[in-house]
Amino acid sequence: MHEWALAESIIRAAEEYASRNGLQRISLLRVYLGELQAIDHEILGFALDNLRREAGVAIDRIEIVEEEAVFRCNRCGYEWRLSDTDLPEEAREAIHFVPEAVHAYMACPRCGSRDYVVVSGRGVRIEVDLEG
Amino acid sequence: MSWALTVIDPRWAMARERLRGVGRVFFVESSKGGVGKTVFSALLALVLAEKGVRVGLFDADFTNPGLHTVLGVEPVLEAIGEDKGVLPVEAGGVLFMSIAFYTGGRPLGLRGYEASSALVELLAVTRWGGIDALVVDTPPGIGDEHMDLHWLRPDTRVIAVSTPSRLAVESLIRLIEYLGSQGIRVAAVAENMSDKPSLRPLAEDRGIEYIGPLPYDPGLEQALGSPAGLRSTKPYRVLRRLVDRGLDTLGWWR
Repeated sequence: MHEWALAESIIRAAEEYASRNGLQRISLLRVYLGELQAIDHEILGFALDNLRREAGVAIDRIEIVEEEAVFRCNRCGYEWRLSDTDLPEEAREAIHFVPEAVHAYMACPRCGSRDYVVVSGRGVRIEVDLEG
Repeated sequence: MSWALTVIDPRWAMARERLRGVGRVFFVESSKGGVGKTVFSALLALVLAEKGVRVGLFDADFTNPGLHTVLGVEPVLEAIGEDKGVLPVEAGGVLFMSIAFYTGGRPLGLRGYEASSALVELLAVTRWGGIDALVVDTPPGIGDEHMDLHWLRPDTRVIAVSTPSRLAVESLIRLIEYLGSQGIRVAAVAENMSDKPSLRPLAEDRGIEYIGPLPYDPGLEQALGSPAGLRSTKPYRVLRRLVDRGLDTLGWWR
């Protein structure tokens, strides 16, 4: 389960942040999951719940927020959503591991350019709130 | 009301931790393309594996990966195992990971920040499992991947590969000077596709270990795709002999 590795990353990053800033507790850890990476919300939540118990910092609450994947072409400026496209299963699986691989499978629907930005919903990022 | 909201990319902490778990890390670098970094990286990993060192090999050339071709590993997603992360693929006794498994060898163009992002993503989720050494093949140039890698693992041993061509040598000196200015020492210079130790003075004058000369072998092309074939090439045999004779950079495991 690749989700476990990501959950470990999240806890590790929270611990590192806490120790760097001399904190004993984090009131809210908000985890943003990008649609592009298609992380399994439930497995990640389960892994986070397990790992937080052994974490080197007290985390009062973990909240998971899903983000829609949006792309913008660097050539023609066109904006589109992942849901507008029809990626084959193989591509979705590869992108699940390395979202940047999307450039190997998808081009701008308007001009065909592979030079585009993932505006939102790429992968995992977290927000730490000390007094939420 | 929140008074301290901080956004963090969690992958960096994990990538650093996983790299810390590796005994020794080698970055094979050269600013100039075409000097044989990829083949050298593979040969080095194969020599170390033959000596009983548990070794990993990572292709950090995200837009132009080649190690799977050198090792003869098919770049398909099915090759990758999953267990609380992704597991490298074994080839010739070496544990191997590459972006090619995820692109299926398709062309991939990335902006610098995306190459950086793909690099940290793969390093954060790949479980090398207690290896003694990791050899990282890097793209030509001095760019995002190199800067990220050096930041993630500051005590890395850099092996700068060069041919004796004046063009490559100019590049080599620039690389040594650049890294030096950043507090990073080049551990060794490997002279590739050469019959004479022409780069020995350049390396030794700077207190850098010299590896070579590794001869050009017309049979190498035939050996690509087969670890056993690579182990019978001239540069492999020379490299193994040099390791046997006790290079500082490559003989720490004795």
